[in-house]
Amino acid sequence: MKAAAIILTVILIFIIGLDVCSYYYLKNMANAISQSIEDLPDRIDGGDWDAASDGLAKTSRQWSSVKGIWAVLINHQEIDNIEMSLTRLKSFVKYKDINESMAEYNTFKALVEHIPESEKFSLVNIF
Amino acid sequence: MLVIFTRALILYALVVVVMRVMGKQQIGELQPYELVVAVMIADLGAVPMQNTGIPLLAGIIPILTLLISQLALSYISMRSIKGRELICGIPTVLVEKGRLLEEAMRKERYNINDLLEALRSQGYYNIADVEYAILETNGTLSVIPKAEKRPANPGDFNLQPPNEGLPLPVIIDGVIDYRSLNKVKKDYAWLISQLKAYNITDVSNVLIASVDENGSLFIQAKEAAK
Repeated sequence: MKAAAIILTVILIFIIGLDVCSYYYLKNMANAISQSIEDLPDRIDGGDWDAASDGLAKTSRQWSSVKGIWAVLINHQEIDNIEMSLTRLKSFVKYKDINESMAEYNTFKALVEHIPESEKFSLVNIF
Repeated sequence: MLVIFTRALILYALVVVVMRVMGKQQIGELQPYELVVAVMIADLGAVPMQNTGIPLLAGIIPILTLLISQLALSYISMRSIKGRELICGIPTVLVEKGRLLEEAMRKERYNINDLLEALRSQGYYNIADVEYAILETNGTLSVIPKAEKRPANPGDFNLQPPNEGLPLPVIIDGVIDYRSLNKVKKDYAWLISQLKAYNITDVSNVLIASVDENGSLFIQAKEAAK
């Protein structure tokens, strides 16, 4: 009985700890990725496509470094969606398409920022 | 993580409550319609438990729907004989007066090996010992052996053993069950005096104590108290 209570407590603490840590990790990383791409619209507006491409390459590296850990924590479909959006965004910037680049920038940002929200312990997510 | 944890807890609690409401049949020998419900509930609970993309209500509503459907079918099968036959089917006699009924076995897709296996599991190793074998609606086989092969009982010897009644546990794990104590028409003072006769002074040291209809007490103390 005592052993069962200890195992139960350890598992509970592990799950709660993992949830809290993973939520803050996802939130911080999502903010970092989101901020790294923050000046992209200004560069696209100003026609500075080379700087936009460089900025995107930096974001892409950052995304590559975190997606392995994200794959452990979140639904793989979400990762695929972000991956596809980033690939599309890079193509639109490469071919200097302002409208599509702007639209895809917003999509990518929303997809990344939505991740911590979808993992948050809330009534909306439970039900 | 906590979202999945909470969803799993909610669905687990719901399925336990639903199975409890459906009654003891649901966890014992199942009728066909009950088996369907048990299989479906397992799936309906498991999928939304781990897939947070599915609203929890998409799991809860079908489970509750199955609950009310099952209760309705149980009610119908309890109140109407025709309904019962339609929902649960009727028992099939497979062996009658010691002879296998081939047509009935074919109809139930029950082969000789199935029959022999079911008979063996009931302790009848020779089919010649069987007078009747009936395939019940829940899939179990009831067997009536030939008169000369059935176990002897006191009635065969014109004996009338005293009524043993149902022994009731009055102390379980150191806790007195007053409901059982009242049923055997005994009180706390009697119980304590009996414990003293066994050199037990504290009720919490008793692992199990039961009283039968004749008032005889069975006591076993906890290992630590010995």
